[in-house]
Amino acid sequence: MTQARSLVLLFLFLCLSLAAPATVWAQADSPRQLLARMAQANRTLDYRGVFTHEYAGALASLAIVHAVRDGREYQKIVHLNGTPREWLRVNSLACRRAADQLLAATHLAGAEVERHYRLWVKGEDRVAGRPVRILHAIPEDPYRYGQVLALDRETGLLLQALVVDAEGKVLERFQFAEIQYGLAPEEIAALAEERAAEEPCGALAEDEQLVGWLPPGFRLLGRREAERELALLFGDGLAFFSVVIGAPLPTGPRPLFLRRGATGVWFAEVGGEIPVGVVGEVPARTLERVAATVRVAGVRP
Amino acid sequence: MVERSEGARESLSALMDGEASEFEVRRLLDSLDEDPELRARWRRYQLARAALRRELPPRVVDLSQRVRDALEGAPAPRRTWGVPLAALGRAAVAASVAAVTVFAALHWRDGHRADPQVASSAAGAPRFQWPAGGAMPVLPARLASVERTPGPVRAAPPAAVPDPEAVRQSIEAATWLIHRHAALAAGAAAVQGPLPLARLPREAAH
Repeated sequence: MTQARSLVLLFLFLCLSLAAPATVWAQADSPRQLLARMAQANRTLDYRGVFTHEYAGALASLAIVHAVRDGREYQKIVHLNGTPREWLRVNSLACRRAADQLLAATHLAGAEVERHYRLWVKGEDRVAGRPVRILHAIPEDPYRYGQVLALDRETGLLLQALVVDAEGKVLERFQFAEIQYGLAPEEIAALAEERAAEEPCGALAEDEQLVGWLPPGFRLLGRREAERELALLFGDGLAFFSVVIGAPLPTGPRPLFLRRGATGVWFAEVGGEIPVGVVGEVPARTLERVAATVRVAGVRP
Repeated sequence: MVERSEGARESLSALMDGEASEFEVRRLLDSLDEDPELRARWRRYQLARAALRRELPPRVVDLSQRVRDALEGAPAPRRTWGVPLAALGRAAVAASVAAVTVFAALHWRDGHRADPQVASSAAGAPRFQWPAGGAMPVLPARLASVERTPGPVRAAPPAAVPDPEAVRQSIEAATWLIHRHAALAAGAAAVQGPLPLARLPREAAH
């Protein structure tokens, strides 16, 4: 009897061991793993492309070159419409980005993102000539927007993103029109020569106390301090906003709220004198509530 | 052109009295776009009305886009998540905040006004719907769809509109803030790809 039971257990164990790799493959398609893979792909792949950015009736085209060399990530974006502008950012790969850690922690530890969004893999499509997986992130509360993401099926790169409000209106659309993976070594070298200064890694202090209320799942992810201003970035892994204390305030009635595509800007004054701006891709109610709970007792304006 | 202006002025009066037909309103809105004189008249009418209602200091808001939105948004039934924001959020927010209508101000909007579709040329196009079927979740009861009944077009009470200098300042301050936010977001998260930098306003930052 016991022998028979041991045999059954052994058989079960063998089955499970053999099935394990299959389980891993199945998990590779889970929404959270797709997200984590996307964040990784966005940082580490070499590519160049052209994408469009649409918001509030405006459509802009932008060219991008992204490369990794010697542990550094180079991202150059050139606006193709209007006033010529370009941005080059250099980040160290060693300094793991805070929000991406959130996603990574998420998939190992505890479905944090899935507490605030329902994540669904919604079939396949084609963007910029590449087969993509469509991922829906539907918010569980009114403090964040919904997102539709299209991820390159082969590389995991984000090729399309829509920000959708609670009424189903698309506030913003980002979409690659053309993408080419892999760059010639000389292209990467030229990019690296353009600028060497790295963005600071950004150590986090306990500034969260400055804000009395955060929407569920939002955490302090970044911090930048200048002479007369302090900027704090908060995010839930998919959506982000910043609280800027000491921001220049426009004259006129306050609080004041402006919106541009998915980005809302809320101006207020704390204690009637310290200017605070809350800015990000979250609904007005989130910006308002955060702004209302900013405490600046410990901050010298 | 003269005849057209004359007709438009009559329509304008009819609109102010709440007697304009939907066709007239649409035609009028088109004329407003093309005719600065008519637009000035429209503002004067609203100003006069605000003054009559003792809604002083006499600040005036250009409501033509709101009226247009109301016309175009009317028939489409909407699906919402969570509480009906249109009713709840906007009203609550509007009460506490000075509404600013920024016209032709480089895609900045009064935050409380309904946004047009991402592509404004596709006005009246169906709104984004989360596709049904497949692994789509069954929406809980609280996410009931909200039917918006088409009603008569009526101008909302005038809200505050600051002078052009205040508008310019607002946009400048908002641009400054977006730059701070974009720099932080681009550094903290790769999850959005190039989006934070793409969002940087076209207007010069300082």
